[in-house]
Amino acid sequence: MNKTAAIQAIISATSTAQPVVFTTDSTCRIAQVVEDRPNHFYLTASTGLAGSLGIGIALETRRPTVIVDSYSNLVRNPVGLITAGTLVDLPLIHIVLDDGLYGSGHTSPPPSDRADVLALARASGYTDVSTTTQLDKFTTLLRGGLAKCHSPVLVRAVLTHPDSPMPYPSDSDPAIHATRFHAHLSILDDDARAA
Amino acid sequence: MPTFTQGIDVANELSKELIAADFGPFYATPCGILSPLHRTLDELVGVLTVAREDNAVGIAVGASLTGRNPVVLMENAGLGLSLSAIASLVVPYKIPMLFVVDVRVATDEQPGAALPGESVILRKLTVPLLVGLGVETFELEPDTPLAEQVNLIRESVQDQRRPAALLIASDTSGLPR
Repeated sequence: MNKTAAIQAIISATSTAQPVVFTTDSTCRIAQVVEDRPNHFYLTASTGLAGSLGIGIALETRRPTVIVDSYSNLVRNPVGLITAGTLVDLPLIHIVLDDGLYGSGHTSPPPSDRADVLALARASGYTDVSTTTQLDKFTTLLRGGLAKCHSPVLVRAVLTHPDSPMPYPSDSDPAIHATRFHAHLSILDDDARAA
Repeated sequence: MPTFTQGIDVANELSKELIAADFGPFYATPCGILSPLHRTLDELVGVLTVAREDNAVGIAVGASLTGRNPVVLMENAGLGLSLSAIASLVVPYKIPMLFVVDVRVATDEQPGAALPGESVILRKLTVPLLVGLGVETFELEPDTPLAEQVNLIRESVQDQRRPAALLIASDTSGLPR
């Protein structure tokens, strides 16, 4: 599995009713190229804060919220993980794409490559923690997690293959992007009230 | 919580005014000076305590994107820790939210005596840092009704959709240093 395949699986498994926060660099670039949806929120910087953003969204919407994190970003700031673990009824699926590399476009291994994020998640209070190198198993874990998302779960996807070069998506104004995401959540909220 | 010279309970009154102005949810990192406000808000509407200020900012950004008017309580040392989160997330994405930040100052009776060195440095940096970030900054004034001050902040955050900061100095609030 490579990062592009994992992100394709995430987008296929999620609907526009589920907020998805993509961490920085290649993760959000690939997501934009695979399929740009209004329920996607792309971080252009703020390394290590994807989890925190997802927590804020999940707390307020109570919708299953997907965080697409990277190993290197998570170990740089694991406080979001620790916070989510204390929120036992938070509908959060925390995906960690682990390519064993530090950041995007670099070849040096991360300085904390021996940190066990699965153990950290368990110790923090995540109710379900799993890891896989296989795309089909990753898809199954993801769909299973979304189907019964009542508490924080973590799925680590071990990326074993490199990605093909992807085109850079066109730059967009972050403020316009935030407005689009907010508007989409408002529509979901209105629909939920009407139902 | 100690009082302004008018004898009002700042923690209680400020909490009520913020809640009445539709601010919330509230997030906080541990801060001795703001702890009475933290405690009062927690009793009234609940506060999520977060271990690091930049993570609290990240959670608040998520809440803001859902349409809420979040507030992050932090000591001014945490403002430095949140610099990247504010500069790369709050400002470019134009996220409306409120920071309530303590500023430690010496009293007239003991000018500078009880302030550790970092507090002196951070006090000098707080306002320039916020101004540099483009965050509208309000300082809690002892002689102005809290409702009036909170209304100005509400206009900035909720009407103009901007991030803003309310600075609470330890001497003007009469809080312990």
